[in-house]
Amino acid sequence: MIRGRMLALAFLGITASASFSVTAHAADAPLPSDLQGMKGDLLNLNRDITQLENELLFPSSEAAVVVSVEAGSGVKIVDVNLLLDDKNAGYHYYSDQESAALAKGGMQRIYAGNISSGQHTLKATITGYDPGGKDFQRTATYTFTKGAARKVIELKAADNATHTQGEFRFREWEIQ
Amino acid sequence: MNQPFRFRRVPQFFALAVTTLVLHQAAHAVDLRKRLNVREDASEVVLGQTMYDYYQGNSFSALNDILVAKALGRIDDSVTPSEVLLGDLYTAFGMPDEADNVFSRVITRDMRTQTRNETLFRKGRLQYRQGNYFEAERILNVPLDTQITNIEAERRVMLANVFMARNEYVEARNLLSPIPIETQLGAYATYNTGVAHLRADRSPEGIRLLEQVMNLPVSDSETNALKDRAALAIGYNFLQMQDADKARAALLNVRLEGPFSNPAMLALGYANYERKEYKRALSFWLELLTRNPSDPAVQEAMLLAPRAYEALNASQQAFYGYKLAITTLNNQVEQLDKMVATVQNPDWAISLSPSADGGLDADPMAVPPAVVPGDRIETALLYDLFAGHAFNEGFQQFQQLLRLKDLMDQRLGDLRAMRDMSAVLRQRQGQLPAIAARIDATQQRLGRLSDRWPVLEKRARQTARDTKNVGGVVSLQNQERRYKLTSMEETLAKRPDTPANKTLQNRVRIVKGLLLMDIASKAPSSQEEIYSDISSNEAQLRITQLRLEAVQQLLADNQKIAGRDNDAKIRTLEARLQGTQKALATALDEHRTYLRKLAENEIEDTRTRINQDLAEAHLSIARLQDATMIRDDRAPGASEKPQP
Repeated sequence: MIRGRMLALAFLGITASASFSVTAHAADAPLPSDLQGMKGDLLNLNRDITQLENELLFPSSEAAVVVSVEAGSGVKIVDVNLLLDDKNAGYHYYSDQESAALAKGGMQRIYAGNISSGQHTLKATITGYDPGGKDFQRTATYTFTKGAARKVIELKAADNATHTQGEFRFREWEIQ
Repeated sequence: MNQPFRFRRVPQFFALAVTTLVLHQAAHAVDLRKRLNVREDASEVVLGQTMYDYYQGNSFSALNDILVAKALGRIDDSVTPSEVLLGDLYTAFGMPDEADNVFSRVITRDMRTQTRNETLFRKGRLQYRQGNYFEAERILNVPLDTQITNIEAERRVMLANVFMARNEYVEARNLLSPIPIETQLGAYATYNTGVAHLRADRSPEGIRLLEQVMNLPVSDSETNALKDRAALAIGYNFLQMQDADKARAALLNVRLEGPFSNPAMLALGYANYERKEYKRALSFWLELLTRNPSDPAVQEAMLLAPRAYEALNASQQAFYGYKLAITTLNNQVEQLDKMVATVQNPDWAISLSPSADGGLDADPMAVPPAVVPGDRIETALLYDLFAGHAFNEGFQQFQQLLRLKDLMDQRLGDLRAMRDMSAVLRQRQGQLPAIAARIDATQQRLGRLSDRWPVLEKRARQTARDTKNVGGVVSLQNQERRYKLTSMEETLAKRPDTPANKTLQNRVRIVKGLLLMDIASKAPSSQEEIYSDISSNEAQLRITQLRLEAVQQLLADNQKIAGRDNDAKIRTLEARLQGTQKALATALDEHRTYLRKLAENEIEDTRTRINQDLAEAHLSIARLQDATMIRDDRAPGASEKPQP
């Protein structure tokens, strides 16, 4: 009898094969079609609500500033302090996860608001580490003109030619 | 020879024309360069912000961002990176049909081979996860890379699993052998293949592979746990083959305090028991008895330890061992009864993860990966359930549905706020025509000013060129005064040269001097000031035009919003949302019931097993008592009771 118990336990022990850990386990099992349909409806609904929300809350005088890091540059941003026309517009401290997201090509929206048309000055004070691991603090200034369309300005941190410090470039978009 | 006027001036006109043309082109080029620095294709910045959300783990927000951007036309289907991300997000959200549509759409395009291969891989992986192995094999049969990258390794593992399911082990082995075992994927692939060989009665090959895993260097907790499992699998296999020595040798590799130490100690006891080393077997099983009594291996040891005592002829210890087992197992049955009441509580599934609600803004797709029950007894009793794939899948779906429910509740509040805002805009609608009229009037004034500007500019430049001639900057009033004084001067000059006349002339000269000084003091002191004023005014004119355009845009936006029937739109959205909330409630109930049923089945299986153990314990006690009575009967000086 003891052998019978032993065999049963042995079978139990090896039947559970380990599966390699991958993300998105929730999608492994096939879903019933009504659940997919419900999720599709939910996504469409959320999208439509977001659109209406944007139309009502954010008129065309919206402006946004995004921060990014050039892929492969090795620059790591620690924090950014933003002034718009000498007024505080935003501050963000980047956690390790957020820094990693920037390094992979993500753009972080540090400021979004309504500003009047005309000329404006953006001043960003950036602290971080250069590709060599040395810390730095730089201030970058940019002047832009806000017109009728939505404006997005990107502050991109890149590597300079000598890999000694970060270099900062600005780009603009006007979105209808 | 004198040429006619027009021919004499031709070279000058020509030079002027060329100069004008060159200057115009230069100005246009400056404007163009400035325009080129301002982009209008928003796909890059939209995708960048979406990627940031995605890498932060806010996958639902990222999915919504892409769908909104597509609806607004800021990203279209031709942007391959956003399409691939969309497919991944649909997959993660549990919408494999939509994901498949996206990947199929992307594959048909012209693109780099690497991107196409990665998209094909995603499509193949989706089919594999849905259990469509035939289709998965067809897609995954194409190598992605000549080197064993992560994605290529994953492809090989999935394809090998498909082959092993058809007992095609040679093909599976050939696929997996190039994957370095030192990688996590390689270690899991080798383990799975080893177990598959064991199941197919190909023990030598299976054990060889499992030994490779067992002998990996000590590493992170996941790899160490896999090493323990491999050692356990080898030990069990040798026990089945009745080779206790080899079983013992393998089982000694399992960590004493790891997650598999209990089954390993149980099996080590078996191995020693098979070798008739009962005391050694007992030492392992007695150690197990000090551990959590809800663990199946510990419960098993409760019956085996007395058996070892029996083998050592220690009947009394065996008797009390069985008694203790009965008491403990009865307690376990009581715990199971309480567990039934617990799982039937509607909030049981929610209680399984301390952060089930995740907070107000929790992303619906960022659910915790595993069940974390707070109760130790619950964990031990339902360990197999919580470790199982079916329960975990159902639980993750349940958590996702909970968060979606919270999101919809929040959105309902947002819609109510929008309804209020829409009411305010509707009230303002009556004011918009008047505002529009004012803006039109302002535009006309600005237009007139812009039309006059070239003339004013020319005059100012003329003045700047000749700053001594202050006439151009004199006000009308002062001009009139100067004219009158000049007239008086001329009139007085014509009169006889009397002292009174001279006094008058003097006075007029002084007044005129003062007037000229006044004019001069107000005039720009230098050419640079005049030019600076011209530029400043020009810039101001341009900025004012821009501001007016922005105000016109705002008015247009307000007219657009106010003119739409936002109330009807909001009512429609609310109706849709309420429908979705009902569907979510139904889905939540279904999942709650599903998880409860899985738990109840597990509890029932455990109860059956414990009841069998209890029965065995009782029978063992009876057997011991019978054996004791028989020995009493045969002893010298036994009772004179007649034999039956």
